[in-house]
This record gives sequence, structure tokens and C-alpha cells, in this order.
Amino acid sequence: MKGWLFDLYPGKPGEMVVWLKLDDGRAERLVDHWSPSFFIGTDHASDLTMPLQTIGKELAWTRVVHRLERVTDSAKTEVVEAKVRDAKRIQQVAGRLERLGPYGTFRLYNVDISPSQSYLYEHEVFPLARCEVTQVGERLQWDLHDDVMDYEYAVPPLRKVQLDVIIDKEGKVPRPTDRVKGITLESDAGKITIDRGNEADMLFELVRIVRDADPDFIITSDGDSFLFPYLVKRAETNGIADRLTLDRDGALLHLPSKGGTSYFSYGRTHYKPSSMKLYGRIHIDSNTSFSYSENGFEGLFELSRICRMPMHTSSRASIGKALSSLQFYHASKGGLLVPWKPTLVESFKDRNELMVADRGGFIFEPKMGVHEGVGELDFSALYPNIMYRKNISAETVRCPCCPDSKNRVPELGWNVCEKKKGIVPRAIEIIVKKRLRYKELKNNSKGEDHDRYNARQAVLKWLGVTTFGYLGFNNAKFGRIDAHIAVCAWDRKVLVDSVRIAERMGFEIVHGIVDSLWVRKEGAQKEDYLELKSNIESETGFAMSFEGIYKWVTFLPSKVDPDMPVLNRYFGAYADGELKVRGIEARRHDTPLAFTKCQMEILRILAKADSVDGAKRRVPECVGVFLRYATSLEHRGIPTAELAFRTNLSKGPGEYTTMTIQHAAVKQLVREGVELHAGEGIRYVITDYEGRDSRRATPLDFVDGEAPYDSKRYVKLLAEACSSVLEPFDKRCTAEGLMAAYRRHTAVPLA
Amino acid sequence: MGRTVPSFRIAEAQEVAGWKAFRKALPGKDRAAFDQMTGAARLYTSASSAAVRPSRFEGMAMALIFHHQKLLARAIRSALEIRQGEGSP
Repeated sequence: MKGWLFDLYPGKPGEMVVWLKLDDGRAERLVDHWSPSFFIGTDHASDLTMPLQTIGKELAWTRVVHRLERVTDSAKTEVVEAKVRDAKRIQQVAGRLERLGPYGTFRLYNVDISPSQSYLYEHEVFPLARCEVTQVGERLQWDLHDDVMDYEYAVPPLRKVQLDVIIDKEGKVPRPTDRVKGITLESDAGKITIDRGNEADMLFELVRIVRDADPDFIITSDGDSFLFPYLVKRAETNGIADRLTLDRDGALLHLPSKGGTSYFSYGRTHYKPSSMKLYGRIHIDSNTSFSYSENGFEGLFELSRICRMPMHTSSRASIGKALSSLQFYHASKGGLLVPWKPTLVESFKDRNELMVADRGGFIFEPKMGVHEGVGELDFSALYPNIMYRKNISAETVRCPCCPDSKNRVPELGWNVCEKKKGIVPRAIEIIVKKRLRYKELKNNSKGEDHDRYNARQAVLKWLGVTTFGYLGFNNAKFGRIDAHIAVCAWDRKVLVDSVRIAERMGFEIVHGIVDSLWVRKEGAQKEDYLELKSNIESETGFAMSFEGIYKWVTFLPSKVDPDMPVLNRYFGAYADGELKVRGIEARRHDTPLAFTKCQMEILRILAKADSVDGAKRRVPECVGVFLRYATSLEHRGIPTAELAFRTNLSKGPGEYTTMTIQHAAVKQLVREGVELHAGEGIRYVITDYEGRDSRRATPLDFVDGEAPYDSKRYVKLLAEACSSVLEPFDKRCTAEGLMAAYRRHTAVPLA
Repeated sequence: MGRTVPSFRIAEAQEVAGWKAFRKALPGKDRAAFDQMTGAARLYTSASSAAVRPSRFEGMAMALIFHHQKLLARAIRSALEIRQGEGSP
């Protein structure tokens, strides 16, 4: 049977269910009698005899095998492989075994790898792989007709449907007790609205249409946290929960056994709801899927193939989780076990060594202000390339086998292994090579092809970035801070060397940050920058891209201290008029849409100018844009939805002590019965900034028509946003200056 | 894992904060000069960070000496230009 591997998951104990998408568009359910293994290392084999007997009923069999226990090991050692009967119980079984001996007696491996991923690794297949499957007894035999390295791969025609529910709200926000008013299903074939009969009839009709249309993907917005749980609740209320099925396997849609989780990452609190899985059909929640929302289906397909994760999982996985899967695959291929609880610690460093080592990439403070004729050069995937080409990995940096290695970490002098390729460079090879090729293909194509290659290269970019972060992440299975440090040390050397080359060629450094350089030379043309790029590439050994020459570019000062430059807050216009904007309001996700629109309109006017003087001459026109938006705000001519701020809750609803704007919105939501968690995103409009109670802000969901938003506050905030982009060109355009202009314009005192 | 040693940008801000009592004891107009001085040190943060000194004050002090050297050279150059201008017919 030929087709594409579409979905897989553990079925009954000892079974792996696999769905194959056939050439005729049908999906075929296959069953492989297979279950995953975990591995146990111990110093004394006799310690294992009794524990293995105790958990014996949970195991299909055990045997002694040879594997690499630690990523730093150079030779395989004896470990026990334990094949579990029920894939879904692998973590419970391993946990039970662990508790049967004193702490540390048993070293456990491959416990928390998802069984579906283990299956993919073991059979050398991946989602959407073209293959031929043969049933041999109770087992499936796979013949792969695909290559994960392929750049041009065929994806079967896949049916996609967008599911939404119209709710008959009794309160301000939808609740599980509200009745279903209608259900919509939208696909390429058109839109179907189910709104006849009672609620149960509508749910039955939904089940029937999904069964008949047999879509491969059901896409929802908030399906994990609200829509699917809501449908389950409504089915329960109507007594038809035992007939609510939307997947191919006939499983009932049910509430997840555990709630979502709040977590803290890079200075922000996030919330992740439990996933609502369909079997044999993929449910994508556009609100919880990073890869889908950023890069669409093409990004999701590429990520699932490369990282060998079922699409349901990869659509919800953080990029770090996807990257881990890629590393697990390479570990599994090389006979390296994946520790359940990693214990790899960093090498000892004295104070002086720690101070030299524990630094990030290099930064040259930007020269604040507006500049003309500045060229930008960026290293292409510098960190992934450093890891790949310098063999940087947890086990290769300061390895015991190559003390005299010629591959040494700059500044620190640490040796890097010359005998074997590390797990990180092995895993990252496909990312580096495929991304480079996709970028070439993207640059030489148009339309759909361009978009496809772009989505694929974008998802690979995220994987590359995450690889570096995971080298220093304490929960990463193959991370060690020494490798992370080594990458930063290489970065500093590469950037400082590049600056020396640029200065030698007569360029002045305007700004430099980690892997990007902004340089300038009087009268320099494109050819001069290309020559600089070529010289840097040949001397450092790392590829660069020339981004272009700016007609003007502005590096902004800190908002707190106007004398201090900020590293990543700038905007500029290239010679072709294209804008590059970083760190200002228009780039922030929490900025109201109206502010973004206003700021970008101003920037587009400035981008028409060919020089700084030209841009200065356009300032009055830009001020006119501010005045237009401000007047519109005052007259409530801007839709409320465009004025909504978005924020992630930094704490639980009960933890607020003062009535901040955020707290005011939270309080109203909680009062209406909305269950909120730390990390969840809320949207609100400022309604009474000077007030002291919860009326200071109104949640966007509560806005019915036009809310009485606090126009004075919004005009002031708009003036601040506009001054960010205008003040560099005209010192009078401070927020106060713009407010004064507005007062003159309206001739009505605001205060 | 993660950073054990704070970045020099953070360390520098901590050092300035550590001199809060000194700043507070200065007359009002001197406080502005003090802020200007600490601000000048921050113009060379990358270089101070690259120097990797056990005392964060050392990096800042070198940055200030260097900045003053540049100002001095500029002042001398200006003075010479003025003198040359006065001497010319």
C-alpha cells in the first residue's frame, strides 16, 4: 500500500495506530503491533533483578543491550532495555521502577520521548513521508520512498476545514452554559452554516458533515481552551456526549484529564491550555500553534518532517520541543540514550575564567541619531553555523580525548573535539543546509513557490535560533553551558574581526550587534559594501548577506535616559524605499492597531525622502497624520477594536494588589465568571485612566459597539508613539510638542 | 545554568546605584555633573565588558579616564586652532 504517513498514536496496549493518506484521497487506518522501550543503567546488575520482577507484568520483555549512556561517553556500555506492554504507561512504569531502589541506583533513559516519536525514529520515517507499507503478520514493514533532505517534496492534496461556533451569549462573554446558536464549517468548497433544529440536532449535523466531508485538518481559533471543551459541555447538557465524535477513529471528544500550565520564559509569563486531540485527523488551534500561525501549513509540514513529530504535536510544540525531537532522533540513530533526568554539569571554572567565559555576543553601541548612506551586513545564521562548523556541542567542548585539539575556543582556549562530531552539530546540519537552499530557492522564485520556500526557511530559522538557547537551557537533554559559552566566544571573535576588516577598508562602524553590522564610508557604493562583505567572509569563514544601503537610518536613545543609546531600537529606509523597523511601538505586539497604523503611515512618508534633510522637510506632513489620528480619536472615529491593548497576565487574577489598568480588566472578566490563569492573554481598552476602580479599563469582549474609551489618554499615548519616529528629525516633535500642536489644531484645551 | 556573572551593562547600573549616597550628598548642580560623568562611562560599555576586570569600578574608571583623554585632546586641538587663528594675519 502506497501513500503518505499522515498521523500516528498509541492505540490499545501493544499497538501503534498509523494513518496512511492514499493516492485516491482516502485515509487508511493501519495497526502495527509495537510498543516503545525504555532503558535502565545501573552499577550492579543484581540491583535490577527484584525491581524488574516487581514491574514484570507491565513489561513485554527485557534484554541486555549496549548503548552510550551519556553524551560524553566514548564507548557503549551494558544497559537493560525494557519493552513496555502499554506505550501510554511508559512514564508510570519507569517511575515505579525508580522508586524501587535508593535514589540514583537506576539511571533511566528514553522515558519521556513520546511513543509516536520513538516509532518514527525507530522506523526511519516521518510525517508526510511518501512510503510503501506492507503488513507482515502483526507488524508493518516500511519502505521509504522519500528523503527528509528533499527540498521539493510532494504533499498529498489535504482537505482543510475551519470550524467555528456562534454562541447565544447570555452574559458579556461566552460561557459553557450558553446555547449553541449556529455552527460554521468553511473550506475551499465553501461555507456551511448549521443553524436549524435544536442544539442537539445542530451537534448531530456537525458530526455528520465532518464524517461525510472527511477533512484531514480541522482548524479552530481557541479550540483547545474553549471551542472543543464548550462543544463537549453542550453535548453533555443535551445528553449526547456519547455520540460527539469528530475524528476518524470514532473516539469521543472529551475534556482533557489535566488543566493547562502557566510557565515563565524570557521574562514573560505564558499559559498553555491542554490540547484537544483528534485521532486520524489533525486539530490545529491557530491560537496555540506557533509554527502554523507564523509559517502556515508549509512551515508545519517542514517542521514535522524534519523533527519527526506527529503534526498534532508539532503544531502545538514550542520550537525547543521540536528541536529536542530532532536531537533525540540523532541520538537514537547513534545508539545514544536520552536521559530522563539530565545530570550533565558544567566544568569547574575559577573566578577569572568565569568572568571571561560568562559573556554574550559582542555589541558596539549605536551612534545615536539619524545617519545617511549606512550599509547593513548580516551574518547568515551565524550561531547555527558556528555550532555546525566548529563542532560545538555539550560533549565536544573540553572533551577529554583531544587535549591538543587545534580547534580551540577563542579567548578561553578550551579544546574542542576533533575525533567525533557532536550531537548538536549532527542535528543542526539539516537545518543549516536546508535553510540555505530554501533561501536560494525563495530568492529565485515568485508567487506560491516563493511563499512556500519562505515559510519553510522561516521555520528552520527558528530551529537554528533555539538550538543555541538549548545549549544553555537547564532542562535540555544535551545542553551544557560550556558549549553555549563557546558559541558566544566565537561570535565575539567573528564580530570584532569583522570590524577590524571594515575599519581597515575605511568604513566607520555605526552599530554592531551580535551578527549584524551597520557601517558607513563617504561616497561608498553597493560594490564597496560587497567588497567588504567578501573580505569579511574570506577572513572569518562565515557567510554574510548584504541587506542594502539606507537612505537614512535612525538609532534611538533610551526612553528613560535620552543620552543613552538602545541596542535594538531603530528604523530606517533602504534605497528602494523598503522600511526596516525594530523595537518601536509599531513592532510591539501589545500596541493598539490604530497606533501601529499611524506610526507606519508616518514612516512611509519619511521613507519617500532620499536624505535626512528630505525627511526633515516631510515632518509637517507627518505631524498632519498625527493630528488626523488624534482628532479622529477625540471624535471617536476609530473602531474600539483598534484601540485594544493586549497583554499576558503576569500573575493569577487573585494576586493583584493595586488597581492597575491590567487589574481593572482582569477584575471585570473574573466578575463575569471567566477563568483566567497567569500567562493568559487579555485585550482591553482604557476607559477611565485617571479613575481608581475597575472602570479604568474595559475588556474588549465586553465592548458592545463603541465603548466610551478615554480619548484624552489615547491622544497622549499616540503623541508618545509618534514622537518616537518624529523627534529624531525635528527636536520640537517631543510628545509634549505634539500635544501642543494638537491643542493649537483643535483650539480646545484638553486638560 | 544561565548567566552567573551579570552583563556589564547591568553591573554598571548597579555600580552607579551603589554611589547613590555620594550623589545625594552633592549640591544640586553637581548632581547633574555626576550624572553626566556616569553617563560618559556608559558610552564605552562594550569595551569595559571586553576588558573583563574583577571590579566593575575598574572598567568604569578606565572608560572615564579614556573619555577625559579624548575630551582633553579635543580641547588642546581647539586651543591650538584658536591660537593659530589669532596668530594669522
